[in-house]
Amino acid sequence: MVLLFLVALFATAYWFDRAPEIVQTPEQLTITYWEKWTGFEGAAMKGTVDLFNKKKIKNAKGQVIFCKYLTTTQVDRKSLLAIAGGTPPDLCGFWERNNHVYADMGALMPLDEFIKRDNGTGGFDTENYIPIFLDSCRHRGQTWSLPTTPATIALHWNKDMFRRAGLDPDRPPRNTQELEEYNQKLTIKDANGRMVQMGFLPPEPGWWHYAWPYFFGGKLTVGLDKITANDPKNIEAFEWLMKFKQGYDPAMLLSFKQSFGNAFDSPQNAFMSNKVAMVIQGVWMANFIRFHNPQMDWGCGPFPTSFDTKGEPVTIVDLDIITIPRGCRNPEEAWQVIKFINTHEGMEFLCGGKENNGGQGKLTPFKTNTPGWIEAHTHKQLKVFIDLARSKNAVAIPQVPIWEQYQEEMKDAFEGAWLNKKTPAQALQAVQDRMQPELDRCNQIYNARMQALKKD
Amino acid sequence: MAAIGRYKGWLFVAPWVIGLSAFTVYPFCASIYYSFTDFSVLVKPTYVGAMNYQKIYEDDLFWKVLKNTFLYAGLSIPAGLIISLSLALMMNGVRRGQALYSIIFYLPHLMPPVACAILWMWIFNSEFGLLNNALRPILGLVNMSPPSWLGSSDWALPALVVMAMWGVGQTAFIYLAKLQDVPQDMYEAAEIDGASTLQKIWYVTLPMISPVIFFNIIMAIIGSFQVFTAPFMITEGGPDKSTTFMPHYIWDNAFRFLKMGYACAMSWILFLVILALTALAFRLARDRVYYAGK
Repeated sequence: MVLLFLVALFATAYWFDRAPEIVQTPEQLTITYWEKWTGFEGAAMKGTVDLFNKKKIKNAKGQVIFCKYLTTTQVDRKSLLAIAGGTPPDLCGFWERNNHVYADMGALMPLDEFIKRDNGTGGFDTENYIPIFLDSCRHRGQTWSLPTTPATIALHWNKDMFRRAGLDPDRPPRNTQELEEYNQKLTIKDANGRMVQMGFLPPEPGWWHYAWPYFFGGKLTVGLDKITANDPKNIEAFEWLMKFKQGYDPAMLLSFKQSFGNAFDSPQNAFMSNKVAMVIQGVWMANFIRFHNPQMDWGCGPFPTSFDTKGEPVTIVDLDIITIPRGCRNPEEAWQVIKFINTHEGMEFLCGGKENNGGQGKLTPFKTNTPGWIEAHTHKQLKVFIDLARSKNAVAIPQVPIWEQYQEEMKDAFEGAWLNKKTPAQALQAVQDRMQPELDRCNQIYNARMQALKKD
Repeated sequence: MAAIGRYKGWLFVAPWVIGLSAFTVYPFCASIYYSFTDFSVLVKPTYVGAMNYQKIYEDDLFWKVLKNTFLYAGLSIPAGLIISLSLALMMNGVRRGQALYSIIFYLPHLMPPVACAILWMWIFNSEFGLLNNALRPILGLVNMSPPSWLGSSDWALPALVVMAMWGVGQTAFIYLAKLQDVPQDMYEAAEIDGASTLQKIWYVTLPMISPVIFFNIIMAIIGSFQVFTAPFMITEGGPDKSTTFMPHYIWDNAFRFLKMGYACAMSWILFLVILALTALAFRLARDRVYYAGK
């Protein structure tokens, strides 16, 4: 009797242990889309999906495709488990850093067949893209995703603070030497020796410690199998960063950094509260300045470099992507959503900047936009970011499978050097020594898996 | 009918047994196997023998994280014990308003951990925080300035220990319940023998509540080796990994770096560490804990 009861319980559990079936009708097919965004950015993404739904696009069976949008926190981890469990959604909104890692693990469906078939139709065309954005979605010769909200990063400066320091508010530093000089002029301490404001503080916001080497001509990898954390140019970059703490009591700098709290989207943000005059930030910063300090007079431009870029400024490309996970039940219908988002209509709605919602306030991944779109955008300096994306020196994150760990190690290396625990050379050598064996191990497993697949 | 009666108990506990088997026993056993594999969740696990354990041995960061965890446990367990016991003794001693004090000391425990973490982040803020605002004038007398609590690799871990004391009210409550169970005639006998207040605590109170002290120490060992929310929310393990503890490092490896096999191996090491410490505590308690029933 007990046995029977247990069997019945297990059978019930097995029955319910499936993705909830969405009731499909002969007239409508519903697909699910998990996306990370919340707040106004989530509303913009949902608005774009609503726009798709209004089109009432039909599949081959004549059913109207309806995309059900679901905001999902930690979307990468939750999707990973759903994919592993064989019950993924039809679409997943990830970060660029997930693209190549999940592709290597066979978690994503390649989109090349769809792209080849539909290229040049319905407003979708791969020729439209600024090359680096599409390249970031490719890995080992295949396309695993397409962009949703692309971004580049740039120097942002506070013009009022420049004026007060006697600097020309319309002339940002053009090289790393000038940035040091500007920092000297913009840094102020009070009578008690406490820091009041700084020109430039490398740990603020501390999101791109892996990126500093690129502004010195350094590199993090060579191909997919060589880590170059200890490249001399990388060490030079880290040594330069350490100059900004020289001459100050480390405890005072720590105390100053701490005073901003940990929140970025806050009026206490170091840049928006006039505490740090120059920061490196992405295209989204304009939204938050508008929300928290709309009176602020600020500018943005390419981050200074130590070398002559010959008019091709350096930037890091940061990208959100949309993918079809392995095990998706309706890939064809999911592709229709991706395709719509990657038309001018979809993308310009998503990335547009309209007051009181209606867009994420970013740039599109396209070479050109609909006439008047940039002019109507809330980001009045959007062109800076578009030009940065088009630069020959725009770099995407290295597509190594251990990227998540590698960037964490670069952050640790920076912190170690900043807190005087190690020299920049020692810190970066430690990253090199830890990461190269990790990469070798991952590549070995990937190659073995590929060979096994070939045999099968 | 007799058979149904005989198995009725099993029927009632079946949902719990199934839940425990599916969500605890199976993952527990499976993690042993995964700790000997290279497993990234999405790709089939590959057997690698003891490689994960060997790599852990060679991983400098693992040893640093383990040291941090021991340091945190070494500071928070005795501090928690002393503070909660002192609070309980104080509450036990007051004649009026005991209920009010109990509520006041228990309230922090009811606060959600994330909200609590954010609150403490501001208390520890080096420029505007309550703590440094209180310390600044005092330290100023000796020409010193208060530390940058969460921004300094030397002070971040002690700051988390201080924060952990926020929730000692619950432990104090357990002590209080037991303190009220200590027979009054024992105190009277001690008084007749001329014992001072401290002697009464040492020779009467502590032996009589020793089983509860022992229980709380065991729970504190387990809890302090599993600390996750506060460092994850407040310091993200930094600065310079000074507040990365074992659970956080395991989580990073499992869900961020997708090294599930490696994370499973570390989980087993953590389990063995907790097991060894608990066994040691039992061994040391053998002659020191007084059970009235024995």
